[in-house]
Amino acid sequence: MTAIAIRDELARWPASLKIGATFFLLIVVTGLFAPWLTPYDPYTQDLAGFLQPPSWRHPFGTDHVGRDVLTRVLHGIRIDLQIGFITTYVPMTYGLLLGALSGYLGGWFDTLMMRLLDVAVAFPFLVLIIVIIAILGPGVHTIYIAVFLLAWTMYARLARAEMLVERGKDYVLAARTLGYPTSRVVFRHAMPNVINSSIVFSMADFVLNILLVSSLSFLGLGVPPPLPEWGAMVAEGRDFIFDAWWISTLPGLAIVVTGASLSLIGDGLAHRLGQRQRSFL
Amino acid sequence: MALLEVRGLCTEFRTPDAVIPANAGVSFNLDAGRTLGIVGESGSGKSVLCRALLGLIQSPPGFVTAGEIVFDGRDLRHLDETTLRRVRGTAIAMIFQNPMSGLNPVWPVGDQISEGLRVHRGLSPSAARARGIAMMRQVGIPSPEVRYDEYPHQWSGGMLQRAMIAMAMACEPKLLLADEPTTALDVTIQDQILALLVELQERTGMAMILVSHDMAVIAETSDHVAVMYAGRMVEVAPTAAAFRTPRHPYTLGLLQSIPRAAGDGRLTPIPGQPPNLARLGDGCPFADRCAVASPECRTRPVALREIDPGHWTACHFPERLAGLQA
Amino acid sequence: MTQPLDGDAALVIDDLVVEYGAPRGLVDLALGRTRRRVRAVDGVSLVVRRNETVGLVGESGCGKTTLGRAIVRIVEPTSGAISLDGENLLTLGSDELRAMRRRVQMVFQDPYSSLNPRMSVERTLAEVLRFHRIRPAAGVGDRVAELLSLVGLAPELAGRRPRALSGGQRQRVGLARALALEPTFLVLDEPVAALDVSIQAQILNLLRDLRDRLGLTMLFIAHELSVIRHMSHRVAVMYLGRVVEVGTAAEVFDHPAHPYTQGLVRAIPRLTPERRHRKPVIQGEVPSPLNIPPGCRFHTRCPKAQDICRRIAPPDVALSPSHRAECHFPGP
Repeated sequence: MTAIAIRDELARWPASLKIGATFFLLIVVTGLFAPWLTPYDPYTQDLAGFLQPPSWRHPFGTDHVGRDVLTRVLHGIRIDLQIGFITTYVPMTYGLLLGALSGYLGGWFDTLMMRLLDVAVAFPFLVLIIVIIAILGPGVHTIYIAVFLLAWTMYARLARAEMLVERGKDYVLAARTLGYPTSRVVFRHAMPNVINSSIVFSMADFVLNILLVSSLSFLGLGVPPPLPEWGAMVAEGRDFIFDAWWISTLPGLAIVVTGASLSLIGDGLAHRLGQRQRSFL
Repeated sequence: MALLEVRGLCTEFRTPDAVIPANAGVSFNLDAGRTLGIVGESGSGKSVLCRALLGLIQSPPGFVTAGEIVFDGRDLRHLDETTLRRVRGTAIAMIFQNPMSGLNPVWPVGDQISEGLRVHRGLSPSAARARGIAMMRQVGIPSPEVRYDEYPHQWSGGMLQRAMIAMAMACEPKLLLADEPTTALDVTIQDQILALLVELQERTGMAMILVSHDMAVIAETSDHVAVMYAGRMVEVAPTAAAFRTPRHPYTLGLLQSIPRAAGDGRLTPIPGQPPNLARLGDGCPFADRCAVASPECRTRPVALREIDPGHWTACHFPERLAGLQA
Repeated sequence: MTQPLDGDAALVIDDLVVEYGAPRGLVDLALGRTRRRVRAVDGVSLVVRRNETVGLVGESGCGKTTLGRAIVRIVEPTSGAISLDGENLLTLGSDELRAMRRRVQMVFQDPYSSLNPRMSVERTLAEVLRFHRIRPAAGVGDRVAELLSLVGLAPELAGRRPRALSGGQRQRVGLARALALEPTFLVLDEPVAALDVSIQAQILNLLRDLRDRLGLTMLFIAHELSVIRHMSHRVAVMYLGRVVEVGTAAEVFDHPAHPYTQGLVRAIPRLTPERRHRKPVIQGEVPSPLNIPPGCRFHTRCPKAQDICRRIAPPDVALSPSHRAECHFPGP
């Protein structure tokens, strides 16, 4: 891609996409450089300096064991974005594949997939996750397993619906008359025209997944302490909310800002990709 | 006096990248009880014209920037929205290309036909129903008493177009705008619908503007023809004159592009593509595709002028066409 | 027009039936209902001779598109046979099927959806050549350029995506893609229906040139009679899944024998600028293919229908060696 092509592409971005992408990029960079941005360690306790309100030394204050909240929030970027990314894009990959195949092939495979999807949707998502965690025990890996088992269904649904439209289009029929094998028709020809809605949805899903992990941590089912996960930090500050509002509020704000930037990207992408505006949140 | 007089109508669409003049100075007259056929290819501005006449241009991005639309002595462009709506419902009606999207899928068809009578004429529900059924019978919908309560999805395309016509005719309009009314229909159904339109017009004495891309549809139904190209009218003439002695090279090109029944050998297409409306020069918009153009055609602006009584052309050199005609 | 009326058969369709199953819901399954089947093509036999163009005409839902798609095997026929150069296309294994694809190609109606919106013209064509190894890798670029010039496209359009092309240009790309495999038989499904008249004429001229230059045999599907007449040596008229009349273009259009063909021909608007005062010949609408009328399937709309037409399916009557019609009372 030449510089001109990149400039042209950027010129077509709607404002929401530009703003969202800028914020998100800032968050990612901050996460990468977290260890060098503050002089503190996210785990070292300083029992002498606990529950200090925001000040120049501690812009976000300190928590009940004297850890610098800003440091922990910045390190939390690494944890939350990583978990959000994995829980979104791993299931998306096979969800798309299964959904696209199901829509294209139809027949018994499609029937089977549809029943599976119905079952997965019939249960409340969070309850099902909690059940799985209850069986396997809390921890990041359990969350991954639980989400991997369930989260692909939405992508499969989207991809299947889009594929049902695409497979009747003449370019797909043309690819078949040209003698291409099914895998090539589905993945090389139809797939790129099927994924747009999933990409847009994945932005919303990313936010929801961060919130999910935070909620689970808040309930004590997610990331074990002392890891500086945002939801866990909100939970830890719960007992001190009237004396030291900053312990819960500022990590909560981090979730909000990240969520907002991803939502803006999602809206902007929907616009750019010419999708119908969808608001999932 | 003409029922409809359009003078210098300009409509443009503004996009972030460009301003597209979809209608550039369109003028014509239509007498009561007459049919004007507007013919042109996609992008020629014929559908935009229909919508502009009724004040139905989506704005933004579309804007009617200049011109007069004098209907029955009043300039429609200067009416307030309420009055305009009344004119639209009662004096001017329109039917569209796709009858399926013209009807609300969750309402019985009959109610939609008689809705105008209740809104504009203040008819009671039972009177409106009786009149609606009468209308359905008039447009050839079989067993209207039963079909009155059916929904659009239960009807075929041809029947829906009849319903659209019944809806348009319910308030006895003075002018009917038909935008590609038969394009989506099969040829035997098109035949039925065209026969119906001609018959209704002769019986009610309304005027009609019939828009089509199909020269033959226009030939059979219209008293006058207006040929549109690149947002303007390039030829306006009585139908017989336009088809027998076209005086604009585009009209001639269209006629020669059509495969004739006994046609053998090659067709004579118009070379090239229609121009990009956002990048039109000062000269004749057809110059690049024209077989008889001179260099000055590309620079000298061209306007409609009357070269025979009632026969108008927007060509600098209509006399050059004589050599091209078979 | 030269009329290659004799000569060997290239494509032979024999008693072809294509049924679509209406989808069965859970309730139907539970009640043990069988699928409701729609017969889109109901026993069609048709021969296309080498270097001949046969026009297939009919209204929407008559089965002409399904028939075309069955020939290129993107819909599976229920019964019957289709053979090309003596080889039954319906019994081919997957390797033979791939080889067959090279000989039979299709051009689609809608130039806006028949090209992959994500692929440039060059990639679309190069993919065909590479996948089928039509040319050694080094020769692909040259062949793409050749194909573009064959269909009258400027070489600088090669890098464009379909979005940046006009309808006529897209249809030329669709044609180049079909020709890339060097087929002998081309199915054209409404190739000009979506195009404006002036562009349509350009494409029709191109098709006739290519047919003569490459010696193509064609099945030309269209609903517009003037286009069919212009392109075809022989014409087959379809109604509700059956070919009701077949003959040379002159026979079918100038002396139609089936009342449906007669009605179709008379229903076409004429270019003569005279106000129409004729009654529509064919009344009513095409019945649903789920509910095909007994006897002659056209009797519900036929001006000539007698009692026998409602009861007994009409015979296939030969009116001349090349002209046949399925009607109890064929002729003017």
